[in-house]
Amino acid sequence: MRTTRDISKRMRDILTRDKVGIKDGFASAMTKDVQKVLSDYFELDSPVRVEVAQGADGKYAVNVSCTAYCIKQFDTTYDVKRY
Amino acid sequence: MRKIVVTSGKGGVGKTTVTASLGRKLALRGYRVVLVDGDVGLNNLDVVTAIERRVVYDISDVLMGKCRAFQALVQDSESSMRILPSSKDSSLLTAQAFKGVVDSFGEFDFVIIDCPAGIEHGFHRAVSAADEAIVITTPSLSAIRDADKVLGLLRSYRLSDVSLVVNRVRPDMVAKHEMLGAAEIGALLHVPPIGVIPEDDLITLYQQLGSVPDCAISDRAYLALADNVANNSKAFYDVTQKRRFGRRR
Repeated sequence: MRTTRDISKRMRDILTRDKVGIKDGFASAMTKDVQKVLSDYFELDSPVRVEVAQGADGKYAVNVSCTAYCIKQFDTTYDVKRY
Repeated sequence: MRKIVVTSGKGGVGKTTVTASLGRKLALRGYRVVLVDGDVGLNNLDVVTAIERRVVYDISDVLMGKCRAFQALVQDSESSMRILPSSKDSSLLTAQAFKGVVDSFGEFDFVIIDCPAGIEHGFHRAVSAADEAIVITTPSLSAIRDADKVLGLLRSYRLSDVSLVVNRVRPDMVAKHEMLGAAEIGALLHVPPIGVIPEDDLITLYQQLGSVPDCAISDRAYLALADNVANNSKAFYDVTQKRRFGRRR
């Protein structure tokens, strides 16, 4: 069962990349940025995963997933790291 | 008259074989069918239907006025279906001229156009002449990817219907979850499959002899596909499940 699921997922990724024009470099840069932002707010436990999928209506669903130990504590917004 | 183009994007997925088999099954159902070879220069429909030695005129001769379109038609060796052979030279074959020839077959029930591989001028010429499209793919990722690109291009044409046929499915591999099934491919491409054709060693023989024996495993699949096309329905006979699924429309 897993093999077909893997093939299907790979195919879906290829089709989505073709449509969105997402190159591998773009995906890794986006994931890195999202990880940077989330790690300012959370103590992350796992690497961030970003998935872009296109629905039948043509719209894109962007799913970001990761796990965190806890929410970071800060007193004011000035405590948030600036880029 | 229904004008259907059989296309794929990727070469070698079985467009010509599906075109010929579908045409034959429709002819055996009593429909008047013409196959038009739109693959100029790399034409093989005459070989697959075993008429290559009986070709007198081709589509270029029609356009040059050497004969009428009906005179260029060659009857299939296995059915009442007629075939319009393609030419080696594409200089006269504009999209408009090609459409004119296709439209001249108004007294037939089906005109099925065998589209060339790729998405260049030949693709545009073949698709412009049709009202409906059947996209052929195999379960390979490269064929699915190309089918997706073709489906995207087809949206810019005024087609009343676009369907999917999944060719060369290996039921044993699908059962072991080592190959995508037709339903999964249809879901990935957002197009319902109207035909699932199993990989069949007899097809290789068929391509060499020009006829498919009734015992061929793919024979039932082609009959089911012809029924779908004739009835404009979207039911499909899944060879991996060996049962017929309900109609979707």
